[in-house]
Amino acid sequence: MRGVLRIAFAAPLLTIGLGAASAVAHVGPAKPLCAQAADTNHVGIVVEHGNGDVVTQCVGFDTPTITALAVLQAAASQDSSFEYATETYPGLGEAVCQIGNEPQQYTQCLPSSGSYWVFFTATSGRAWTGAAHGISTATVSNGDDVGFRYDALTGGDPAPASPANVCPATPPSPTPTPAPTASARPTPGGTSPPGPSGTAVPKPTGTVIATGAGGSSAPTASNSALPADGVLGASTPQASPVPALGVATNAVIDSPFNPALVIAVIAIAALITLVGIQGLRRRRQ
Amino acid sequence: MNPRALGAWAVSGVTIALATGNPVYRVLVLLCALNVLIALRRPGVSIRGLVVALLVATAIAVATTTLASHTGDHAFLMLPSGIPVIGGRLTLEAALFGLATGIGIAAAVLAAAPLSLVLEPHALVDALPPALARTGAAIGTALNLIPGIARSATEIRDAQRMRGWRPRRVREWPDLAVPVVLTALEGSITLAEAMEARGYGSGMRTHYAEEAWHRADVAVAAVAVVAAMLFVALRISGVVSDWYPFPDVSAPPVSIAGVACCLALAAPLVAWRR
Repeated sequence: MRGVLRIAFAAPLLTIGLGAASAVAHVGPAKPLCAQAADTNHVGIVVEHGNGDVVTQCVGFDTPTITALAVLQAAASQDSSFEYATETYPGLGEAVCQIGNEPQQYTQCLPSSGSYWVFFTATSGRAWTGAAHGISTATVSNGDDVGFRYDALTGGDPAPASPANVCPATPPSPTPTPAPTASARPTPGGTSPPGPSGTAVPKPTGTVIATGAGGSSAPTASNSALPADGVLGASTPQASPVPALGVATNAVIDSPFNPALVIAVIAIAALITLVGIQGLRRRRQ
Repeated sequence: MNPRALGAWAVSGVTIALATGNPVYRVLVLLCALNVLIALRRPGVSIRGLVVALLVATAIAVATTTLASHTGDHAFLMLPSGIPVIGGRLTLEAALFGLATGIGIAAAVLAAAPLSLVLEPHALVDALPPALARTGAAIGTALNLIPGIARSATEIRDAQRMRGWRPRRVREWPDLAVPVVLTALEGSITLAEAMEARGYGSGMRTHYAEEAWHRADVAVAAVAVVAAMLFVALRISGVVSDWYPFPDVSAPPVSIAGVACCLALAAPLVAWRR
């Protein structure tokens, strides 16, 4: 019994330690762009400037996950359009202050007024979501996208342009495939419709494309704009339609009638009532 | 109740409270721990001081985060930007983040509080494994000396005042501090001699009676430890998500499995009744 109890004491601590260690071990740096063809995992990066210009790039890596900061570093190492500056915010990680020389000068990374770089992530081709962490803390995996949009501090935070077609539709399977299929590169345009960002022409991996202001008008109209179907969705092992998966998952998280939240609220109310009852009972004793 | 079972429950509660930044789970842990504390505390022990201290700590966390963090979309006040550190926009998001931090601190403290407010000090020392018995005894003894030092300081201050001592400057405080320190040292040496005279350190710690494990103790420990392990696994796998209100506040994401893990910490209310 004593041995079992000792294990019971140590197990939660060990689990936490192993979890933290594995999380650190799985986060690795992105490889240079020239090595992307051999990489098993890819992440798209979309930068939308204040004037509507959009630059995109596909970053390859071999580790299961990488930080958004590593993605930005890899993109900047290949193209000066992605050169950036960051500042550390305790508890949140690194915040992006400048990308591609915008703003040209700044005194505060997140100013009290004016514009700042808003950071988004899109998981497996789903909608952009405002990132909860700084870029040094947020991690992405194969098929995800990292987005930045230079936006006014006041008002809402519209999402950047769609990441559709930023990365080629490559299967993410880590197992080596036979030579004929490995050399046959899929053509994204043939398997998927063009995205809503105006970047209708599929972009090869590693190229930087700048579009005009019109290219970003449609996707920035809504915060829940979904990336084009099939392009990033093809990166998922099942190659299942992305919207169905994305809508089903978001419905659980975003719906105001989340049953788990309702249960939690009921439980909290019950526990508060119990606190009152216990207090009265102990006072009588 | 078995002290080691309560220890397992406390470690599990602290683990869950600190494994996530989601305020919903933290509130559930806090309320479960508060219920356990109220129901099982020793007779005559008050938790009012602890609750007030935690409320103050939470208020400090909210104030600090609100004043120092200026990120977030919903500003409710603008302080002049010329004021160092706190100048700028004060946002609803920062205030809520501070509140979530304060709730986390309170939940972790309340989960550990039963070890001192429910158990007798000697029961806690007895529950330590043999390798930690002497360290635990030393720490327990040192903690027991703190109230004695406070009493001693009050007595010496009253005695000095009766002699006409009226401190006006910091330079005069050694008149009080030196006798307090000397009295504490004298008390420590007396205690050490008394313990040595009773055979402390001469061999393995012996027990008048070993605390037995009853079914309820095993059930509480097992449920709490499994709940904590499951919660950590859910946190690592992403089923249980953290919550950050920045840049725009939103409802915390909640999963039924995470809520169930937190509610499992209420097991002592069912298994142990005082």
